[in-house]
Amino acid sequence: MASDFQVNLQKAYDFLAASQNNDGGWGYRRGSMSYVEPTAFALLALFGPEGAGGQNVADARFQAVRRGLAFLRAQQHTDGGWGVMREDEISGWMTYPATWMFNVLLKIAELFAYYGEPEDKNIRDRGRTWILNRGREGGVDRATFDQVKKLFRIDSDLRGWGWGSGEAAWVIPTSLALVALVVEDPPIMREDKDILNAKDYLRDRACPDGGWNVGNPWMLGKKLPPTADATAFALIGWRVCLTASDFGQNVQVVNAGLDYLDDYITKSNSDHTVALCAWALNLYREAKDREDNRNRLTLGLMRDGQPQERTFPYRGKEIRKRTVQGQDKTTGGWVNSPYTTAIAALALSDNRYYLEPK
Amino acid sequence: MTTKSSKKRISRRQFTRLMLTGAIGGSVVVAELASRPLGLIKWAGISFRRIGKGFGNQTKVAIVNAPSYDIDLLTPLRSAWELIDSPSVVGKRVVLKPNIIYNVPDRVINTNPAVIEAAIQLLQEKGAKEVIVAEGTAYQRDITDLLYSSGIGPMLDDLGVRFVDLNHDDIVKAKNKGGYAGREVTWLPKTIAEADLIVSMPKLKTHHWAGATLSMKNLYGVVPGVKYGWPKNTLHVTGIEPNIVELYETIAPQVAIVDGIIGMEEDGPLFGKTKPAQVLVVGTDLVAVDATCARIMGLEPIKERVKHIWYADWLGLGVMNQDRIKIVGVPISSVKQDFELPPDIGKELNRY
Repeated sequence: MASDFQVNLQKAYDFLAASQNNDGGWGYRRGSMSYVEPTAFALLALFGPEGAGGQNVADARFQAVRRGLAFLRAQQHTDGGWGVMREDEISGWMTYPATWMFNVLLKIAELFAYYGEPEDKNIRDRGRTWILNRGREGGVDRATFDQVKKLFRIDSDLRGWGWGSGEAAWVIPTSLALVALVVEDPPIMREDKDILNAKDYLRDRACPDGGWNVGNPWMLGKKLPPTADATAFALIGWRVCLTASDFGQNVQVVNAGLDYLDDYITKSNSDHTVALCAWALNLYREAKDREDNRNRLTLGLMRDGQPQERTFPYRGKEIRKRTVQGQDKTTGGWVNSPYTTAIAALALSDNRYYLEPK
Repeated sequence: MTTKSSKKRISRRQFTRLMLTGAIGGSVVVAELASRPLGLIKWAGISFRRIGKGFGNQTKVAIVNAPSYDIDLLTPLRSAWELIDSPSVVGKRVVLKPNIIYNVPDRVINTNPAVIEAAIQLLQEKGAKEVIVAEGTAYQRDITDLLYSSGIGPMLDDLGVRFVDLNHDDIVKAKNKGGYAGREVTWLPKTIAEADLIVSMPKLKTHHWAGATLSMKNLYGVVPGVKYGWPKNTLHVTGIEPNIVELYETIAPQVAIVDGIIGMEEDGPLFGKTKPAQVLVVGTDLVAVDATCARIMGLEPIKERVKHIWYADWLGLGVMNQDRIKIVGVPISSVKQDFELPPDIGKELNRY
């Protein structure tokens, strides 16, 4: 089976190389505007040793990585952060995936030899500084702390990262910032006080019945249910910073999140969510489960080798649709999206170069 | 020998002129300070706009009965559309913006697909070149599963109508027209910026922060999450009311169609209780539509309760006053309900 996924992976890389915009970036949909986040994820995917990060790299992929890196280098602002796209002059959360990507580039010698530039270390350092100084949520006064504690049952002294500078922290940006910071030097960074505080933040924001949502497990005394995307990003964040000392509460919230995603991936009607769930789950699960998740991701709704549809009742009718289509056999992409395809490629690879770059 | 003093003496007339100039200048400075953050020029413009609204014709809001989602909704919606001074949609690219937020078990949160379907059919029947359904949901990045769990996805698949995820659309910078929220620009999805006509399609609900969430508050779902994050918190902490009216003035949606067949009372917009009101409310002045919906909910849109409606009226963006609104279709009195109010945040703080 492994060789089958290798074929899927190669097609995904080809899709990524072919769906790059002329400016060197990638969009959320093929042909749409280049954004920093999908560009960083496309590069992280292409960095795979079976993609553009190993030996004998196909020229199309090689050039795609070079152009993608040039795009990101040019988009960094003087304050060290990135906006969401070229015209956005205000640095924000996309600094996290961009810095993550530069950390991986700098840590893997072969990658850096292929694609690195002398200024990349400085770019990464400035990105890291922005994350630590500008992206992190500020403290709150006691009155606000008490109000937030009462209304949302969350601890505002635990500080994560926000979507924008000076804003409140939320689960997805906190998870992305965690990875961006830890991958630079995992053994050291896992013990950093800011990282430890962010882990406490993620544990505090976990939904009482498992999983995460935007970051409000409670709203005026009622449980706000988890969502798959926040849970997947939180689990990816946890994966880079879990240590032996996490047994207990931290491992419990991680396991509850994994249980939620295990169930969710079988019910989802979204190729993108299936890709995200598969990626997060495969960082933790055993080989057999990983294979199941990858089959679901590549084949879509399928039973006994036959494509399946789901039925939705609507006003007396039964509407049938093959909602999860899997990998497009012609293009090699998922839902014509470079972003989803990059995530799917990360889910298909067992090599964790992007979390433990060496 | 005496020498004439070199000091010039100021005449009484000159003194009076100087005092007058000073008084006028001082008044301007005081007025400028008092009218901040709008500023004097903006305030003067608002005053003229409000005066103009006072002399204009009554704005029409249509209320039509619609007892359930299982009946033919196109007929009452068409009737409502024809009762108001509805805009021509011939050859236009129309974007329908429903309210699609969350899937919470046993809660009726999202605009019902049957109402969206009726709106699509009506606009196609009226000659729209293209009808698009679009939303930028606040609590999750991937809206696909929410589309299917709400029934909207299957309905759109059945009709072959395109859905646009506004959170991940291409974006453009739009200069804010009001300046009420302290931002000079708002990033907008290209689908919204390039639409010929925008229809806000909220559900009739109470809201624990804003009092009620209707056609103007529904515009929060237009701003792209990719720039403002999820749950678009920056629009809440910089002031809910200024941001609502800013989006209304800047985006300028032309029509509202409110799903009031089954509404939500008490702890809206997510955890409230189901409350049937069995109406569709349609109009071109969203302030008037929202004020009418609030009255249907038994909630007079006063400053202390639903401040954004009052604020939009005060800014002259529409009319809230019942005397300035001509209700067509059925009267408010025949459909008026007593929605249980959202929890008082002050009391909630004491409760926990």
